[in-house]
Amino acid sequence: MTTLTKVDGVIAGRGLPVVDADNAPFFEAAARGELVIQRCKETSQYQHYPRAGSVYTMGDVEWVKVPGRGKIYSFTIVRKNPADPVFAPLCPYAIVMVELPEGVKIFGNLTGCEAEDVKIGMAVEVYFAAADTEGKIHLPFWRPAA
Amino acid sequence: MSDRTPVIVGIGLSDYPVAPHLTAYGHQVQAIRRALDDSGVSKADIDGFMTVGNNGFMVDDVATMAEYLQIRHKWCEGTQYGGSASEAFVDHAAEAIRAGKCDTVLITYGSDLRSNKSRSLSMGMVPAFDGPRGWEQPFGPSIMSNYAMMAQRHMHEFGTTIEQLAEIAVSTRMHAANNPQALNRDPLTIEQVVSAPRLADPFGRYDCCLVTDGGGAILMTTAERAKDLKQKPIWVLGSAMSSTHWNPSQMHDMTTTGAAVVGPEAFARAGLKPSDIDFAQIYDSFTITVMLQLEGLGFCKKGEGGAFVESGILRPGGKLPVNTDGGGLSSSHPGQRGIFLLIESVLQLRGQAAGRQVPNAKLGIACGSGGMASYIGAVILGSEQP
Repeated sequence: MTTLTKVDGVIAGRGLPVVDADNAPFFEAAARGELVIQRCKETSQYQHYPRAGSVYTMGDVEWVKVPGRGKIYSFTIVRKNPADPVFAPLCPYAIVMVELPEGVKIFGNLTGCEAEDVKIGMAVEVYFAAADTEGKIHLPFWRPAA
Repeated sequence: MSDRTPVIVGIGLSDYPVAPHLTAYGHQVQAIRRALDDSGVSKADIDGFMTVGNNGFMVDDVATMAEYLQIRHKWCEGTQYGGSASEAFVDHAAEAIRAGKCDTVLITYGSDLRSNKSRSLSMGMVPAFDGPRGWEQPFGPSIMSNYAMMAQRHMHEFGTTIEQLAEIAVSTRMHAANNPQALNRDPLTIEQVVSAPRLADPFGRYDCCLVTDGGGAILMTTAERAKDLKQKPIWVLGSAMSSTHWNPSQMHDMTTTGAAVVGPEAFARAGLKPSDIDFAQIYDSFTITVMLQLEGLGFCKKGEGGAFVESGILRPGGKLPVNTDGGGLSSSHPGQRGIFLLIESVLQLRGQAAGRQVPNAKLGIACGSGGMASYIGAVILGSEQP
């Protein structure tokens, strides 16, 4: 079996998202361990990543707390990444695209299982971990659903 | 009335795949000199200029390069469409020439990505990501891992196998064997491709393009002006350009690209269908990139790319030879190789492709893909006046 590197939490050199007016509610919820995504007020359709307005109408959006459980839509096991000095020493690690029942896809890392166990369709759940030493930015990560 | 139908009249490639004697700028100068010699156009005739600069970055943009090359123009474009930039530029130049905005357009690209070790396409070591990229970059993706996820999804949805993807690497290598300048010309088997250590599942090294030096220049003008020039003009019959996403998570599904938009558009504008085409130059950043474009352009149905390529149809002598110079997988990939697709197409249509000439080639398509299959640009070219 091939053990995946647990690439959650603080990784020196990892580029982090910039918190701004469009995405601040996401990171505020993330710090509480909650996943929130945006919903169009007019059409009730969801969107992710967060934006300044609805991609369906350019109208207003509202933030909705969701359970944070979904299925792997696609994935890869990165076994070599020599061009990236931050992640090269962390191989192998798993990148997943998670599809939520709300109809959006979220990109991230899967931890807590062996490389051979990762499959498209696998049920996963979100968890959050602080990605900077000051605990200002919490990122979403994914693990096999309990 | 003068015939303003847009045609390609000059092409030049700089020294490739390994050229330590040339800077990225040197690649552009050499390619332009060769395109001018090839066509009989004089530098002073150029009044339209298009480039994304060097090495696939916005480091040397259209203004900087117009300054460096001293190209005085009344029409220009430098939009960064990645590997599809040259196809987009031909699409836009054709309209500008037709509309009379300019008469002679120069399209250039240059890269010393292999020999200049300070250059890299790496996505790492950026301290912070503003806006959309902040939702993927923190998780350690590479360009390869992004395409690998498209391949995984295609395999899951349609039962595509790594052997079928490997056939794209194998057929491309067969073409490279016919190009004395190609970097890798040794025979390659499906077994070798699939047994190489995996880099990002399902890809091993042979599923991924090379890193080389190289550059190119293309000259376009009116059919009227072409009558006084050296080469038989190559006709721009139909073209189209689209972008669908940057971040792979924003693809509508991971197996459909903008090729599904630009293929039907370009073929409709040309009044042609995929089965009319004699050869195709399809951007091969990775094996899956070719399969997704073949499906999108309509050479086969969506999901049937595996069986389509498995038949050997892409090989030399096949019904649809693809990447006849050996492609980015085996010949050259200088950061962006969109211009190589067009230049190889012109060589084939002129009958100047020497040992790799497709017999009787009259109609070809060049399809560029940039970013994470984010931009797709297709150009259908013909050897005969439409």
